Amino acid sequence: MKHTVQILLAIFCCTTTLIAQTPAPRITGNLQTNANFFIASPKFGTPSTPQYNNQKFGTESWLALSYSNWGFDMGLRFDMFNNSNLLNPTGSFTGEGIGRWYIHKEINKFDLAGGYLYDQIGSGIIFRAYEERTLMIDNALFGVKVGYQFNDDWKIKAFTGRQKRQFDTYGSVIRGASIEGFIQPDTAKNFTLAPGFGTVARTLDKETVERARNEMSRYQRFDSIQYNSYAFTLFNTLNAGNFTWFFEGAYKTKDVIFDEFDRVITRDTNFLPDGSVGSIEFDTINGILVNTDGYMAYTSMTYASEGFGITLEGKYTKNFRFRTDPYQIGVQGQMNFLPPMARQNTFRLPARFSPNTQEIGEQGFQLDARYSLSKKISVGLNVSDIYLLDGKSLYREIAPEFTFKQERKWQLLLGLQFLKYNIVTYQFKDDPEDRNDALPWVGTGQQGYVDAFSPYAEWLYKFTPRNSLRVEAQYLLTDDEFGSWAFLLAELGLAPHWLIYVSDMYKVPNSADAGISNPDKIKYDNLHYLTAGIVYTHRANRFSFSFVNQVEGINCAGGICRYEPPFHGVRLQLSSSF
Amino acid sequence: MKKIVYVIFFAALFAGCEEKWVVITPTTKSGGNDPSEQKRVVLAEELTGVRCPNCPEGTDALVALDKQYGEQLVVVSIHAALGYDQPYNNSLYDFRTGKGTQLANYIGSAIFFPTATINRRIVPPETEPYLPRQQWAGIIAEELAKPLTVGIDLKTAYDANSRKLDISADITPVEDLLGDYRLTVMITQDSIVDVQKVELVTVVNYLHRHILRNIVTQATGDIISEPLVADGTITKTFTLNLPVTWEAKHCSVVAFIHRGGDPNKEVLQAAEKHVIE
Repeated sequence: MKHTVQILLAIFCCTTTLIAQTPAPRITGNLQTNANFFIASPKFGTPSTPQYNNQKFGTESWLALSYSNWGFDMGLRFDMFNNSNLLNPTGSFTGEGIGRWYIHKEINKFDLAGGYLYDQIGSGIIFRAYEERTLMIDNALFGVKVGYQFNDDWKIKAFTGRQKRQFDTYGSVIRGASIEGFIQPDTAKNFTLAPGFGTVARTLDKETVERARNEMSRYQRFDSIQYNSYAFTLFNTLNAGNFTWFFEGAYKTKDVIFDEFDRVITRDTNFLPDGSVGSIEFDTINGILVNTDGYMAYTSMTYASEGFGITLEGKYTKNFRFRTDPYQIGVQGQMNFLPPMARQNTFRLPARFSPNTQEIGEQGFQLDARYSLSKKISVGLNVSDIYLLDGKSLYREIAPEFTFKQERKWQLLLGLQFLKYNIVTYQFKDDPEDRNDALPWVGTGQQGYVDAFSPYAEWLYKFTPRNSLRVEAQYLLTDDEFGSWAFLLAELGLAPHWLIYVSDMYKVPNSADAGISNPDKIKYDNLHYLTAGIVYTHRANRFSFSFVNQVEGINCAGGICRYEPPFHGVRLQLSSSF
Repeated sequence: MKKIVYVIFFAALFAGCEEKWVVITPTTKSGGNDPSEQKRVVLAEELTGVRCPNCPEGTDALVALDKQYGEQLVVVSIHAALGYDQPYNNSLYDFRTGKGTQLANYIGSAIFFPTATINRRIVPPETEPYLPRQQWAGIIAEELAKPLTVGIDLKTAYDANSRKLDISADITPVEDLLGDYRLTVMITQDSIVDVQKVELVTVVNYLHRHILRNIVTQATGDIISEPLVADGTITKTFTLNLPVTWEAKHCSVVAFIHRGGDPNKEVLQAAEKHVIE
């Protein structure tokens, strides 16, 4: 008995020691589900998509589980798409399976991972593997990654794999490495540097090269292409007191990219039987594959002190389209991420015309400043100006904002947006009716541009610390695209569980005096896009039910945009973390 | 030591930077076919619309490919691009057809324009057969390099007075074919002048090419119920009257054998015959 007690005591001690040394196993997860019921509405011009025509219902869902034990981190995600229009807003996609799995382990100074990995180098200019579900972007790298921490300040990593595409992978092979450090010359002073260098190489598969060779041989000129393309980046963040400066410069060696703005004229000579030239025909091929190098520079300077903050960003891009292969367009197959030069507007109408990043060529700057006049009043200004490399204006936004906070009782935000938006480049839409602009300072509108002026306001009133009412009022004044819009939203918050909202987006009719003959321009006149919803939140679980009437538009995230057709129907959303 | 590690690390990444380049040489027209020998004929189905501003760039590319490959490429333009296919007020014709829209939906869904299918092949990792223009030439070349599995001998007889058109398609498999195979027969009309959006300009006298006018069979193809055995010939006949608004000299009959599965609707062989030779 004595021995038994001693043995049990020893086992307990050992077990306790082990438990104290090894973190307890942990399993966490989250579920996100969207369900859309499509209800045809001739009044709103229902698009002829499979969901409206036949399917009536579409859903997408992601269930992710993470497990940590024995020093390992493991994850598994089940993805499901049933008649989903998320991949192609005018199509239908059905598929289900393991969307992601990974295993990660740290061994001393080594960091090892395998599976579907998300990662980036620097700000992502030469490589970024990430997920953005609202745009159906999931370009995880299916491969392995090895990291090594030299000391507290310097680390190095290398990876290789292929990029994910839904439940498949692209044929090209990616490999890359980076080294990042942290330097503080004097610990007593607030001056630091965080330099880094990275490189990525992509090897095209044989089929892709053969297809490119066949396409480029049509251009009737001698050329050569390669399997491998390399990108290099050098970046640094400098901190000096209240000042922060980030800079990144990148170069990409020759790469076969699709340039939709380039063209080639081919000559086809027809010979007569006697060998003389009978006729010569010329063909123009618009949008061609080109084998070219590219570069990009991005910088961001920030000064922040109590009550004042200012950020100035600048960017220059030339031929920095970096895809898994030259046939990928839209959001597909992107290996990198080019930082946008415009803020992501959160209000509905100011966000209606958002710029997407131009990979072939773009230059621009953005200024964002905020100053607190007092504890109650603050003002802000955002200016964004983007051009093509030939100097043609793409996007200009000037948006001053004013915020007033009355104790904890209410808060008011007032903003203005002055906008110039090149709708030809961004949406390939024209505005032929733009003869006499509604904006007095614009005069006769420039064809191909949306000139808009959008005042907006948000008022938040707290009845009690838990109960509040939020009201948004916005107006988009323009005679471009479809013309002016008005938007009103009221949202009642009953914390911690309930949120109820109703909104209306109203299409202000175009002036009858304008003599508009284009039926597309007036097709939405006088329509009310009513939306109402209710959200229930319980701890980390959120359930929402809404009836949605949504006009067609552009959906953007991080400078990446795509066309979204109108939506009429019921939307259910569930998100849960556990 | 650390420096050595760095050097080895990055050198390893770029070992073999020097690679053998792939040389591009200008193409030449395919031709000189032995008429007695049937070769692979590839089908390109362009999805377009009169309001699609950049679709003409795709049409130009297909016309150029058509010149390059001659009789080994058949092009059909389906006016059913969602949101772009509605005629203008001053359009002379409505190129949309019920069967054309049904066909476009049957093939799949397109995200970007210009777009076309090449033998309706789904090229992994794509999930739809509609492909961007920079991929067409490569896929056509791959399809032409495949061995012939079934031949189509298309014959037409047209009576200009009655506008009656008799079509006969002899289907001769080279090897036994098992599964769901279908025959689709359609009428196309070339060289119609009408309104088209070209980039930012609405061109009133645009030359439309290879326009799908009607599908004689079902839009999804008529199922071939007879056994498709090697060297056995199955003959399918069709008769129709050409509408008076269609100019017969610019009309062609297009026929092709394709799979009927979902998603595999791959075209095995196509054929084209002018109504008036």
